[in-house]
Amino acid sequence: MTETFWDRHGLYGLMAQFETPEQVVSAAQRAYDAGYRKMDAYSPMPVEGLAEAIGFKRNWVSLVVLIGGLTGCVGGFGLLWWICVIAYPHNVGGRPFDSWPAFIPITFECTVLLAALSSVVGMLAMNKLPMPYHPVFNVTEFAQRASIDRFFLCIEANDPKFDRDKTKAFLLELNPEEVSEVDK
Amino acid sequence: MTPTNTLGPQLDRLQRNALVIGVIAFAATLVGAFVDKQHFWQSYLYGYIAISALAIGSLGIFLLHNVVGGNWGVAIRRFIESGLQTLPLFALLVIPILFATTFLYKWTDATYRAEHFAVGHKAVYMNVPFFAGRTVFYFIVWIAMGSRILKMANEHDRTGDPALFKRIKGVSAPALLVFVLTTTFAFIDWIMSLEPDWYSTIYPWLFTVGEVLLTFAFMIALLVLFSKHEPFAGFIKTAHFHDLGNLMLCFTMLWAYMGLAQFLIIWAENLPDEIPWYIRRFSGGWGYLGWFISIFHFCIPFFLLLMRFVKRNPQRLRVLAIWIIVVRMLDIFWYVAPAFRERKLEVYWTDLSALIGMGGIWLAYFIWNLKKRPMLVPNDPRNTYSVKGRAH
Repeated sequence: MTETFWDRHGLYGLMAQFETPEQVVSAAQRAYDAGYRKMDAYSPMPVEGLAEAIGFKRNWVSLVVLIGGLTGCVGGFGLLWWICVIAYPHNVGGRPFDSWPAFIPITFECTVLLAALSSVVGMLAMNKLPMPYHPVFNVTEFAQRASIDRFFLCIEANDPKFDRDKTKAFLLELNPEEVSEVDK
Repeated sequence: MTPTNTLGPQLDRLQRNALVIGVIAFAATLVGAFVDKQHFWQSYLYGYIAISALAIGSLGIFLLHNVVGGNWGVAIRRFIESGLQTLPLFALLVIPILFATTFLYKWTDATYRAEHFAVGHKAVYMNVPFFAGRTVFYFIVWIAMGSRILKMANEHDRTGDPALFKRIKGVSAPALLVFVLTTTFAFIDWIMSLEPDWYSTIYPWLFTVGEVLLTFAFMIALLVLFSKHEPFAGFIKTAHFHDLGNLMLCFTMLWAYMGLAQFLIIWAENLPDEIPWYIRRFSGGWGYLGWFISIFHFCIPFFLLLMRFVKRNPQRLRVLAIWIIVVRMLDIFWYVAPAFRERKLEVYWTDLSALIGMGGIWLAYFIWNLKKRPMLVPNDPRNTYSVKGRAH
């Protein structure tokens, strides 16, 4: 399918602006109840219940961290075992080459290292960061106040229920300060 | 019904049952003294070390919370205060040990001292009068510190004076230092000297960390038990359990870290002075217990405590906390008993009855202290979870 003009230059979504965190949480809840799924909320600070209100269940960073940690654990232990048993076997105080207690600290450190790195990398990847361009910044009020004192809810145009007029009417019912169209 | 009354009947019942079971078990242990004196004293020492951990650990957590603050401590504040108020019980229960050193400590034996050159030289420090004097000194310091600072904290509960709050913090910091130093010497005296040839510099800290971990586990189990009742029901947030779970994770890791550090150094040196301590604990059945502790005291609780769905669910956290209490008891047994029962894993009924007896009596005394004051501290400036209008 070829990309049309509107795919590239059309509407990204509709954005409602709120003054308080309580308003944005209840608006998000009502939008979710109305059947909207492709939406996001923006806030200058963590707001209790906001993630749950837009239907965010869980993130998978913890799984990535677990896999990273296990890789580091097996890798660290395997590296030491290979060095001490196969590559450079040395007799240290008459101990067996595979003296595993001595491997524990480095195995642990490798586990922590890979778990920590995979949490950072996994977090960035799942947030699709770094992202040099995002359409929401086309809204002037958003760009100026989203990280200071206003709360935003954006229903995206690719939501199956999205309809430019009906969604706009719906958002206006939620008592926002303003509803703006977000250009791509 | 006033809020504090709802917990009353349950507390009374718990206290009565604990006292009845405790006294019966303790009496049975005393009967054991006439059956088998040697094992009676071993059991008594084990029970004493295991249960006194709750009072000593409470003092440590109390001082720690005074210094660093935090919402976790607001929830269990009265528990730890009541825990440190039980210190006089252990000052009393230690007296028999001071008169029974010949049954427990090899360094009291002149023939042993003559045969073991190094132990003979330690006699300047390890002799009965000095040992008893030091033990008395530890208790004077702990009880004096605990009661003085607790008195200030009570005064602050009443007045909410910010200057006093600051002074409590200022006094608790050096007190925490004194606490760590005195427990260091206490555990060297009471337990490490059971094997007077052996020494490890991290051992007393390992023990102190274990005591604090045990106390945290006990306080968490108690908090979950009470959390459905007023005044806790309207106060406790999921975040409190999350914080306490994190602290339990932290002390589990610290305990494992120190235990491994001690093992690794001694194992790597493989010196005749030091390695026998581990040989005794990994031979003749003790090894099974050692492996059991490594896996069930560290590996499994560690992985479970990493997960939020365990820490944020009070019932799951309680199961884990009770499990930590059980493995702590086994760990202390693994530290104390192999000193007497060389190369053979033996458990005597007095081990169990001494533990239950002292535990029951302690629990009754603890609840008696707990009932004297309201369960929650009024005007605690460290309480931020329950303040309205905050995002978190």
